[in-house]
Amino acid sequence: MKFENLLERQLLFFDGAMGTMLQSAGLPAGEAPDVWNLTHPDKVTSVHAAYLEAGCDVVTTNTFGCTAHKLARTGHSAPRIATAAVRNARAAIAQAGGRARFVALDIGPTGKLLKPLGDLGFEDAFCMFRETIEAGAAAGADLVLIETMSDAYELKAAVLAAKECCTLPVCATVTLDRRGKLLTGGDIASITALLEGLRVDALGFNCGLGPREMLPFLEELRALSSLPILLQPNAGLPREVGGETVFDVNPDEFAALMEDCARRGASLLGGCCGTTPAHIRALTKRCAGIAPLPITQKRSTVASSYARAVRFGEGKPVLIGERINPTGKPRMKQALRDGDYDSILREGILQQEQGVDALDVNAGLPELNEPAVLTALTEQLQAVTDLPLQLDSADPDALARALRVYNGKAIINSVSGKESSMSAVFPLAARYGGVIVALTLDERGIPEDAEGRIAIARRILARGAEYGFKPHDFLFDPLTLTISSGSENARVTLECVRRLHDELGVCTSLGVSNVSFGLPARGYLNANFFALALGAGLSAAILNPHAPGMMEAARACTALLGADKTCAAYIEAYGGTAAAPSPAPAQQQMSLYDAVLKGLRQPAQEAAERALQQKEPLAVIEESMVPALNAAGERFEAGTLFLPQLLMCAEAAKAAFSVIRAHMGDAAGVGRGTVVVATVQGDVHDIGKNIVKALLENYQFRVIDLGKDVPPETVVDAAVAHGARLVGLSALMTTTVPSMRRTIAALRESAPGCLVMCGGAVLTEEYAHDIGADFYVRDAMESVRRACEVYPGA
Amino acid sequence: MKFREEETLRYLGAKGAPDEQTSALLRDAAAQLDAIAAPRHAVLRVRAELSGTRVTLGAFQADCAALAAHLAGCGAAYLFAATLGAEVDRAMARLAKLDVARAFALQACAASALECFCDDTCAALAQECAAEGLYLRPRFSPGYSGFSVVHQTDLLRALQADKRLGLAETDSHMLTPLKSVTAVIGLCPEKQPCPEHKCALCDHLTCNYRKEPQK
Repeated sequence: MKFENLLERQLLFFDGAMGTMLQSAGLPAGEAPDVWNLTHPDKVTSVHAAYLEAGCDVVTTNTFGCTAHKLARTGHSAPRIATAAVRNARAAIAQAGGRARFVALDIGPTGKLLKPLGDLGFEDAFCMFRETIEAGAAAGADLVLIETMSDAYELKAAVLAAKECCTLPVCATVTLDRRGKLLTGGDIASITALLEGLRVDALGFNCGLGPREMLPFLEELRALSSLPILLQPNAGLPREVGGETVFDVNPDEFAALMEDCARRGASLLGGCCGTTPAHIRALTKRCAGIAPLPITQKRSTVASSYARAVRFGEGKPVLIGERINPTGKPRMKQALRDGDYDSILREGILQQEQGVDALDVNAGLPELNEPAVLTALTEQLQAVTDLPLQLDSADPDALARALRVYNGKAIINSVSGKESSMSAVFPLAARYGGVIVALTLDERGIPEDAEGRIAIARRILARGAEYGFKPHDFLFDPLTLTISSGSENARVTLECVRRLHDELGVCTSLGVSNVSFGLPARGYLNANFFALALGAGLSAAILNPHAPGMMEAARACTALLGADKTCAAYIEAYGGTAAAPSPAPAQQQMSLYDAVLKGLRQPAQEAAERALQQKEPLAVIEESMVPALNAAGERFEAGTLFLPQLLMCAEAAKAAFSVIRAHMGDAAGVGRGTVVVATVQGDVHDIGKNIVKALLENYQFRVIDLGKDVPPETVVDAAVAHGARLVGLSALMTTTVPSMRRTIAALRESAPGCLVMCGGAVLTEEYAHDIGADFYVRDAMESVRRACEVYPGA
Repeated sequence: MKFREEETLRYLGAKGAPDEQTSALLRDAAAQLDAIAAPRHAVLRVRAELSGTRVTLGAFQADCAALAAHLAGCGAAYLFAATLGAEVDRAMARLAKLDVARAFALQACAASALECFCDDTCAALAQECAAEGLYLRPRFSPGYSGFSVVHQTDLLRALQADKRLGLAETDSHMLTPLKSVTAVIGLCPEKQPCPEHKCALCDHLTCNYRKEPQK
């Protein structure tokens, strides 16, 4: 009998705590319990035996800390320990005899935070998990139990490792705090989407809470998930008594609470911290004979980021921002070519502020290495936004790489009815999870009528089913063609939307603005077509949230179609409009110089627009911007204006410059000179570097920002590649200053013409010179002055 | 979250009474921090055993003269860790792309809020200890005054900070999330004279953020 065959047929009982049991058997505090698999196998086997004797069906190997990072100082390898651990568990089962029992290979977190929060790379985490799982599977484990995960990204790395290196069933549990959140911010809905997308066999919660506190979260999970649920709570909430952690829920109480959990839908039951064989004995006795509640299939179409899930087809339309796409945007093209993602990240954040629910990400330019760029954009966007991403590419390799690093369950844009497309995209979606955007076109093109497009949709559904996809895994896009090339085009698309919704019961998505291509006043057509499509049952739209009328149409239709209860969202968006006071006339007429110097963004932009009506862009820069920035800099250095004010000036200037540059076109040029900035390797505090960057950009320097924790060779490579004559290095902590010294030495070696300026709270002039820097910069303005010296008169 | 405006302004490099815009910047940062911070702490009371420079605090051991000096006279200590959570880091990263003034204000506000949170947590611990006639020494953190940052590893491990708080370290022993603290807090039977401010405990005399820098 296999473990997976018993899922859903009966309750399955897991064991309880291991570490505390080993401590009572003599494991000294602070010593890695995993090592005891090798040094004290009899003691480990005894713990397993006690749980088996208590009636559990599954024993969990003593491998919670069995990853290379946690074992680093023990002198033992993870594979060796995992192998011994499975052997110990198997030995206990063999000794117990009787009915079928199973060995779960336990996989706990690495103990590190993944990038960008920490410094562990996603693939490094994947490799750590893989070596343990490979060894455990080879040694004869029956399933993989990934548990106590508190970060969605690490969870994904572990599940992928399990899926890619063995065929064992995978159970995955996360630890929640009392708000029902993961420690790094995910929620139950986002984790459920991620794990179901990755096709685990069971999911649930462990550790952190007692059974009483877990119960409401069980209800939430059961309402969302279509998988068996595993609960392994602590024996209550931990309490500190005289330096010891104690748990208050006794075995009988634990069993009673767990019975409640079983009757409400948990079908795999065990314990975590504070639970003992006595708890498990009480549990198995009390719950024996309870049949698991049947699981209902939820059929939800849901995508997620690390932090939030977005559901399609449940009333409110899902709005997907389309702006991160270089087609027709020369500046974005240039930014993508230069690897300068800041403006693109800003575009993502601004779309979020406009109220979209997800972001489309497209890097499809013929001259770009699309797989590399789409992957980098995905990594960088998910560091600054918690919106789910729609990965948009016709290149399966680009999709594969971006899907792998994506922290959540992505929207995959797209597959079509072409066999080549389906055979390339479906395996990726099966491996990484995702809501699949399916275009109703095939080798013969786009059918003119609705019937033809519906027929393609049916074929896609049938072919997708071979890979295990259900209708709710798709978002069908019946394609919007412009009415300028055929007056029936919009009507056909709308008919498709309606029929896909009514006849096939699937969710739909449209790129709405195509409808008006080639016509004047496109906004009217777009907004009205969008409204009609929503009326026809459209679930999602790819749109420009900055375009007048689109967000208004979305909010209005949501209210009109009854998906905005009590019109709350509509009122929140527009309720205050009439009452908003008009700005004071004096402020409206503020000069550009004053607006920048006072650090007022909006007035600075407006003043720049007014100034440009009267003067050439270069004159506006020379006569207003430069004097304002100089005045701010002088006041800062004189101590009459402080850093926050200087930074507000910088932001106002940046806003004004963006207006001015838009008027300059190609004449905007590449700036005064290139400065590479980085927070040195080992240091993760980058606010100082970010401030320097903001000011340098204001003074029209081209800044190559390498981020934080940057290895010396990366700094050297960037300085050489960009021909920078100046590099700025920052370090906040004393302990990372030696890393600054190494970086300078590397620059001297390979980029001898390049000057180096250093700054940071712990640095002094003397120290900076001692480590070989050319300049010590005590604040951000000084870095600007140094840059001006290095690039005089540029 | 509670934070100290004066301290925050010092982190921001602002002197004197803030102008209206700086005040607004701070108000916004404070409001944002309230929405995203998830302050958590872990504390473990242990016996303190000193032998020369060797310090044993339960599962945590260190050979460190500065720590031994800090714990002189203490029979027990708290191992302590606190964090404002990952969302604050994410917000700072987001603002760094959008508006560096707001990013700067948020990080300053978070730094002060973390201090307040630690102070309040320690005040509660002090109250518990007072009943036993014990007093808390100031928090003593790896990376300061001769207490090497390499001890971060064992301190985090002893507290199971990854599992309980989502708090970890980088290879160079920096704490992640950034707005986090670890410390050892001695418990001694005599009340020690407290320094006027925490900077007086630190031997980094030229630090830009030092109160009343000694030149």
